Amino acid sequence: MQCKKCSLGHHPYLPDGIPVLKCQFCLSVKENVDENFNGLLENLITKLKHETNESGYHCVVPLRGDAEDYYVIQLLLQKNLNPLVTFCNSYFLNDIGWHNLHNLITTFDVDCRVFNPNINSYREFVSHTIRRVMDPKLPIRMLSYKFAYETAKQNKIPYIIYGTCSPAYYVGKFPANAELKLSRWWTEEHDMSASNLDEIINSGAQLSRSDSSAYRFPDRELTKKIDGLFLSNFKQWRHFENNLSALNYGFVPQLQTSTFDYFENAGCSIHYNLHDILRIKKFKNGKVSDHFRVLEAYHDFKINNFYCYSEIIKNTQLFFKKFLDSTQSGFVWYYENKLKSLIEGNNEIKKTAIRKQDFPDWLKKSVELAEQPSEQYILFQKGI
Amino acid sequence: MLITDGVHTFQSFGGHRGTLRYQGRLEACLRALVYQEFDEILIALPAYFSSVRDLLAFEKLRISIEQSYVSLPITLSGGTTENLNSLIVNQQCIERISANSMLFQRDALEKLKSLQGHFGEQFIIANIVINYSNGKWWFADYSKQKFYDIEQIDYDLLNQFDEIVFHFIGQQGTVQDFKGVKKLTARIDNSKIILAGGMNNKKVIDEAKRLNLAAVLVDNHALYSEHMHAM
Repeated sequence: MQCKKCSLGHHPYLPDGIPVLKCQFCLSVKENVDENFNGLLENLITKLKHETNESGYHCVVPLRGDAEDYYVIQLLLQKNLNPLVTFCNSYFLNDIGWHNLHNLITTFDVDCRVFNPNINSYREFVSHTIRRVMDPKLPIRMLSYKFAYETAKQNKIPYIIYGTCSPAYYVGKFPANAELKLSRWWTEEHDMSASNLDEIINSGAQLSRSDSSAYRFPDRELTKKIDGLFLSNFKQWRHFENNLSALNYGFVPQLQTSTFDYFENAGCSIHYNLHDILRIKKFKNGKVSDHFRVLEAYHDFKINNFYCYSEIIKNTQLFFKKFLDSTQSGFVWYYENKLKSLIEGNNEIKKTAIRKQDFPDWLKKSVELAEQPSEQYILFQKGI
Repeated sequence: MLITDGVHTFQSFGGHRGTLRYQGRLEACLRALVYQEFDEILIALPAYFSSVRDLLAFEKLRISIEQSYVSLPITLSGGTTENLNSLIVNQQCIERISANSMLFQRDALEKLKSLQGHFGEQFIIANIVINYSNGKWWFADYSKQKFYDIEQIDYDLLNQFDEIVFHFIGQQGTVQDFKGVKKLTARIDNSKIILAGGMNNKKVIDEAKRLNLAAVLVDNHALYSEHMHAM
């Protein structure tokens, strides 16, 4: 049932047919105010500082290279913490993504551990997940969790810090100040729609045992010693405002055709393209509707719906050719069987684009500084 | 402890259907609790889901349990005594049932004795929903959707049960001490008492151990972290 106030209805985190009466998101907007986080961030910082170890790092921060990473790192450094950042190469970054990633590491002068997964098995698993669960980013999310925990273990660091807890912030699934920790359940419920990795892998993925182990969420022995925490559960969270601060450090926003948020997941070739269109197919909900809802609820500003599918098709074609190394007939088959009915039969996917004057004044800077990527799906590039 | 409509689970705090927050699919929650090696799982189908709390809901529940390969004992609460025959036939994974609305029926004692005679004393436990407001403790009879002063509860009847769950709604990990609990449970043997609702901090669990209570049911916080029960 759609909320009349915020329009929250279909969503990946909220399956259809839930017998609840009040809108969880509207509830969480009321909760996400300063007084509900009294001292929580300070307590967390004290806890992080207290946990000294031989490595000298206070926490691990996994990066995607988008604006939120800048905000998180900047906040931790302001509090005199020494984060160790990790980056797991998705092979999905464009030139803007590589610039933003390397610029962050250089600007904030933080130590970084990078993991480049075996491209062959990774590519095989991505092609499996777009068929099986219609989610090309599931493999990289799982690799990223695993790599962050392994890095924390090697360096004896007891905390991993993430930015936004999406289910709490975008849907209000948990109280805004809940003491949530990343767990196997969390990833199964929110990353895999209550499925699990065994089911997904065992349904036809051509992965060896050793390759598949890299995608599995860390065992309890490890999660017992290392806590994965979300900063958004410790302080009042306004992701547009937070992300704007990245502009002070040389972050480049990316022009998008399917959202007006040029910060979140900027630099990722696939996120607002194939990934988003599959999300609409699966859940009848594109990422832009989260951005609309947050902008309206927290900033009292409404932008009309828009979506530019011609760009998405072009990008998907590129994904098949450049990333999957597939033939044109591979793309044609996928388009005909998986995307055509959605794109041609969906009135919500329109050929309109957002104009600068549609943005609120305080967000216009993101449009002025945003750039078009010159190259997509770059396996590796020196970004500065 | 999982509150469910047969398919979805809900955060266990909040007093009525209107304030419920969706938590996740039952199947994934069950799988997580098995993975976390809990001793037992209580699954509650509250009466405010009366529109779905029918045989179909129990059938959905059975499918969710089967699909998540639960190997732990399960106690089922909510609509159980009304649908007992169906449960006995279909829910082979259910170890015991918990009674709530039955407690407020006139022939409660006869029904209890009959069930205990058929299935053994350990097969049925009592489940009392408790709330604190306006300076008083109240218990709920969800079948009538009413709260009553705790003084009106029939302790003689409760003492006939093998175990009694006191479920404190309106809490979210906020129970700090047992002042209220002690008052409520003074007339019941400690070894029969199971506490639920907001029981998520070490102090409370340690105190429960010291008092030799039968068990403490940790609620949705068990899913918030993989290791909260190891406290």
